[in-house]
Amino acid sequence: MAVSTSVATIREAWFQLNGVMCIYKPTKISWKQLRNTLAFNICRDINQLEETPPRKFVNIESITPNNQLDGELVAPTSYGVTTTTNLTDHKLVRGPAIQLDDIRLFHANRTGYHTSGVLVVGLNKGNRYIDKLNLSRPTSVYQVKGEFGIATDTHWDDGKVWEKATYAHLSKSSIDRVMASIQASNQKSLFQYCGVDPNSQTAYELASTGLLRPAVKGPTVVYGIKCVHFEPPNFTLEIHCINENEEYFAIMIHDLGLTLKTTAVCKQIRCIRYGCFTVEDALLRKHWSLKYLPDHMSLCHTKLKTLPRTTPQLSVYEQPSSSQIEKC
Amino acid sequence: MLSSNMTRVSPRSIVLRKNSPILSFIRTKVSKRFLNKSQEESLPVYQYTSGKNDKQTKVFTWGLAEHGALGEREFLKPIRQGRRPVEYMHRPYRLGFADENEVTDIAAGYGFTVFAAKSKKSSSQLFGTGLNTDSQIGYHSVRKDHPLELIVEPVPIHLPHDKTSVAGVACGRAHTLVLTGKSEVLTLGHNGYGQCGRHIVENEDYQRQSTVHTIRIDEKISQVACGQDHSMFISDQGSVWACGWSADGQTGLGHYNNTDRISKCVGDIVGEKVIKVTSSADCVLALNDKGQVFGWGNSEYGQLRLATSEMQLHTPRHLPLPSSLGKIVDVATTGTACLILNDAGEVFVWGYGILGKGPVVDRSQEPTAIPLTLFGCNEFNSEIKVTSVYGGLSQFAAVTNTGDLYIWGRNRFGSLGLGHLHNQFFPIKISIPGYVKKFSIGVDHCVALCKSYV
Repeated sequence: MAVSTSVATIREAWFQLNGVMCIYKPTKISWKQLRNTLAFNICRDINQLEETPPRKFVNIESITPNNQLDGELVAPTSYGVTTTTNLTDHKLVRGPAIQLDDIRLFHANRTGYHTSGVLVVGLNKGNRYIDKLNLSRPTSVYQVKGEFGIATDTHWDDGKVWEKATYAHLSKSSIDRVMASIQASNQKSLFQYCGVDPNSQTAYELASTGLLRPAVKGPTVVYGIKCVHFEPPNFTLEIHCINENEEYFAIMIHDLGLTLKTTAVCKQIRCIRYGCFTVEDALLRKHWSLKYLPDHMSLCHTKLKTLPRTTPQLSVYEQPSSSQIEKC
Repeated sequence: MLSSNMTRVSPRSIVLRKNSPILSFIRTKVSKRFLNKSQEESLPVYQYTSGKNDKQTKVFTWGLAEHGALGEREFLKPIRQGRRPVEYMHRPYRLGFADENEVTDIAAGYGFTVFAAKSKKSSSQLFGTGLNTDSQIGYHSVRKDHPLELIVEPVPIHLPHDKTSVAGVACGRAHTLVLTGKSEVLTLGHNGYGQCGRHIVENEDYQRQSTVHTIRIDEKISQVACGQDHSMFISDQGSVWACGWSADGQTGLGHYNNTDRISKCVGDIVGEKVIKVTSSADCVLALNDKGQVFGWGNSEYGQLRLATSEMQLHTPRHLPLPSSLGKIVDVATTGTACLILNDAGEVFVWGYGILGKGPVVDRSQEPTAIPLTLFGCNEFNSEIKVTSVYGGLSQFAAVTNTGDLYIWGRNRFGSLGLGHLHNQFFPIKISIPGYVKKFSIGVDHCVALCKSYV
């Protein structure tokens, strides 16, 4: 794990580059672009550090007597040892010490092109923590901004406008009622995704524990949704969900508009939380450099350590014993 | 500083030049909305609401369709060639009748449905659909002396005075009670046990008679309720009156004889101000303004175990509920179980059958709580409360403060509206687009009165 920033050599710095980062992803950047930017920045910074001196090339040559017959093996009389510079370690031969391919980056939450906000990224050996984090099926929190009154071909505000509608009849309470309905419907479907027989006692026990985490990656489930800002035509929803993607939000905003007898488009999607990582922890683009990354990764590591060991509920769920059944 | 004679090139002029090499490059960068700005400005602005702030009433029905109680003609008499009649509808179906008429009250009986509605076309305010074997939804005949036994879509029920305003309706097994604006009650249908409150005539042909009986008492009637074959009335003073079948003492008149004259109930409820009385079969629960619960009628499944160990109770008794339950605000019964709701929004159930606590727990002698998590109460939505409860013959339903309808019980002919025919052992939400105002459960179908979101 990364500990300190007082490193002078590439070798020291390289051993610090293992861990989990919480990146603030700007909007309109694909994951590929972001990964390349991060890797490029790391390479650029690390290669400016002091190189370790190249290894020595030791050449041992045997000295044999001159009066040797053809095909006859004669023990060498002595050996000559010469030490030269190893050219394969030379910068002009092998290029920069750390190259783009050396840096393995992988994301924990796949945020789309338009989405901004928290993006958890694993670096080199930190990728194994990414797997552990994702196995606990953390919920994401999004702030989705929308605008009433227009409908576009892409459901985004930069698409081609197809229709315009009035929105003067809307009120906060009408939105809240639709939100409550969406939330209740999702909680019902969440239970169906668990894959248990709805007529069984197991089903009842699971349902009465409240919210469940689906054991496998499946359809999007909204745990909580509320309208946090309403100033027609603009509004902001705060959505707690799992297995989400960008298209889901865009379509949801579009459908919300139709339910409210108007039209709506999505303007902005911002992830403000993924599991234990919040938007306050996220590293801005100007800080994506070797100066800040090791310290940031150690901070993220302490956050991961405090994470309670949660696993998908179904995998640890056991059949209730007969004594438990009698109790209820 | 820009000098005044400097020419400025607007980005628009570059974009609009056709076949320009820049154009294809810019297209990837500039949004389609920007490129189609002029087209956007020329679009008309649609208005999808009337502008008035009135929410639309919707009615959803589901369950067995064969008897026509769902009120959709298409189910029984398909217009399209080759389409078979629908046996049952196992998910909520939006009724077209409610879009044309403003429905104010609903009641589901045993195979028939009655709507109180303000109609533009008809002067009648009462509509009925479904089984009509006992003239429970009025006398309707195409030919003389050949009354229709089955009505496939809501038709006006003609009441003695044409402009009678309807304040409430209630349906039993084969009779209908209509509360008018003048605090009278009109009764239609089967009177074999005196449930219509008129003299029992031996071997009366209920199918061929169009009698609408009017019940008046000294006090003003403010609420009506039906059991299977008995009728109950609450006056504005809070006293309870009843008539009809009393084999289990469900009329609460202190005896087991059928009564064809409306009489005042005796027992513990005398002097109490009763605000609700409910029954779906033969066990009756009543609630007074102090939040106390009274019960009478059948107790074969321990519904009234708190008050008596007998199987039947002909005199209303106060049910001594544990004080920890708090003030009770709503009650509901099925044929075998009872459900109560307290002012904290918690629901308690006892009796026998599908109680809503899983398949293992099928009987309970004491009121036991159903976890509020099953009604959608969790860390994301901690303010969920149940606001009203309803009971059918073997189903329970609850409506929360967010207007969501939760249902559980036996799923006869898809009457739970869950999209399948399996029984449901704990409360689950029904997908209805709208918030539920009133709900009524018949023997194998359900009717929900909803308001639209906007």
